[in-house]
Amino acid sequence: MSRTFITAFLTYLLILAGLAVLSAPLLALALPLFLYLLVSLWRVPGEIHLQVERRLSTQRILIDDVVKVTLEVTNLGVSLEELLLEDLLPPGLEIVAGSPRRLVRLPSSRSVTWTYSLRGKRGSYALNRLCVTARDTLGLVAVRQLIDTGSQLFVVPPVLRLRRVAIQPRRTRVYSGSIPARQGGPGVEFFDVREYQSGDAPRWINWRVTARHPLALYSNQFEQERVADVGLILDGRRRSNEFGRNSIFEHSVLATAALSEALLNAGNRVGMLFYGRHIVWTYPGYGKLQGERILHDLSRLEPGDSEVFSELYVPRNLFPARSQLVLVSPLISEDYEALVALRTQGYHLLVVSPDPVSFELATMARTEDIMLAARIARLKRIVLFRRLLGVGIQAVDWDTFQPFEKVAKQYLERRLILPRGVRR
Amino acid sequence: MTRFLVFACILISTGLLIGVYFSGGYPFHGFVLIFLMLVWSGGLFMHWRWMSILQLFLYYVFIAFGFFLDLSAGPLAGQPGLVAALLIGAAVFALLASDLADFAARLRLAAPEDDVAGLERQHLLRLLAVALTGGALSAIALTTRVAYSFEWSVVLTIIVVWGIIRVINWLLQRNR
Repeated sequence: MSRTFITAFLTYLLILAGLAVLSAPLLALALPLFLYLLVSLWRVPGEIHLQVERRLSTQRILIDDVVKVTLEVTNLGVSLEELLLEDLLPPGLEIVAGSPRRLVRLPSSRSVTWTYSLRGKRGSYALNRLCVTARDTLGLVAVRQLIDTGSQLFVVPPVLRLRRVAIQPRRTRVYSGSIPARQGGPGVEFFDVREYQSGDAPRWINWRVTARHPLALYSNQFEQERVADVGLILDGRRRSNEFGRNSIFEHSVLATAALSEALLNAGNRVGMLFYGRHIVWTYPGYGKLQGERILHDLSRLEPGDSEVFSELYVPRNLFPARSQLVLVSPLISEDYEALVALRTQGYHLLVVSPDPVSFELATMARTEDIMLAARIARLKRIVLFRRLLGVGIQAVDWDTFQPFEKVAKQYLERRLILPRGVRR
Repeated sequence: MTRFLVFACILISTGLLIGVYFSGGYPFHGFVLIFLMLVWSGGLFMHWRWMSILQLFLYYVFIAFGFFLDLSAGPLAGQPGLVAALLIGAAVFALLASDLADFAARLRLAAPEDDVAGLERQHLLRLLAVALTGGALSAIALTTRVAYSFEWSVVLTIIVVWGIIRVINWLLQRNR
């Protein structure tokens, strides 16, 4: 019950009781209260006319970076005697310096400006609500209003620099890039020998072959290097990412950000598919802008369970046939069939798998039973990886206690000679 | 400063009431008031904002009850006017304490760069003016004697109720 109501109730009670029992002292007792109530209600601010401008030092920060929020509130209405300005922050953001609140007296046509600093966990945050509470002269009656300030802050994952990610899809695009295209033409690596054609540089002539076939000249052909379509698939299923209160999902996000950066830097066309509670699809594109799009999308992803897709699901119409897919997932045994199905469709698959066994083990007491269970889980994982390798899927097991750059340098920079596995 | 004033007002209000009740021969009521004061102070330490308004209500019940008891005994024997003045004083200080306690709670939301001293000064001046006017009006009402019949009291009651309703309507329209 509000103070206004109790005060008014008490005043009424005293007046009515005084009149009922014809007691002058009771009526006299009501007078200070009545006056207090009257003065408060007399100066209740009617409508609040405030203009709010919010400025962010940047709209996109990395985790642990700090953003400065500046708010300027101008009073376009009547003078406000006691005004509480409260910037409502969504959960996940932490105040580093300053205060998101101000308690001020704001005369008409005057403004108040203040700045505070924030940092936060990975996410997309709507900084768009300023709660304004204006009070009367004595602070008895409050008028509250929410003002929309329309700002958004992205806290994106850090982007680790990978030198290169070696992929070799069957199909490449027409633009030159860094991926061997399995076609002869201008390039660096030797590819084939063909009969000399006018325009071939003399230093390309293969004198050994020409010596063996004296009727014609033969020149070397090089393997063309082009860009490719790459689909990054981020697994956000709760069942594969979360273990009690701990989640390995942040590591998957970190790896996806690093991979997208490296693949885009190599000139490839990269799209991203996230599936967790919902499916999020970042349409394929090139360059830095696409990198930003992917980072923005990565910033707002959370693991969850889909009502429709309990298994690994990749809509095939999103990725061109025989393109490169990079799956970032802790993997569970049931995913094997889905991955083989993708491979049979002709996709080239690279799986980067943050190791959930070591991750979960680090949070548990190392009893004999748990160590045995961990050993069994690890063996199952090794078997799964070998089976994947057997069908031509390269899978990288990433112990999350190792830096991803180190793992990437070891396993992703060089092209792995894979068994043919499933052929199309 | 506001916090200090809150405790001072609670102490003064309780002190006045205890004095009147003890001198009137009602020590039990005095002990209940001491208990209420301790509960109020505890509530302030615990930052329970609702405690102040509850205590204001209870203090007013005690003050109103005091008018019905014959408290002009002992040192205050034969001085009903002084007893009434002390009770009205206790009421004014209880009102001040309740208001200041809520104001102190609101001041806790202020940022370090806010002009808290300015806000305090402004609020205290206004509150003091209201409290002094209210107290003076009560004193005038108690000292001025106007004889009127029952019929007049009925008429006055109707006028007062009608007047309050008009004031409420006017304020509602003004704030809409």
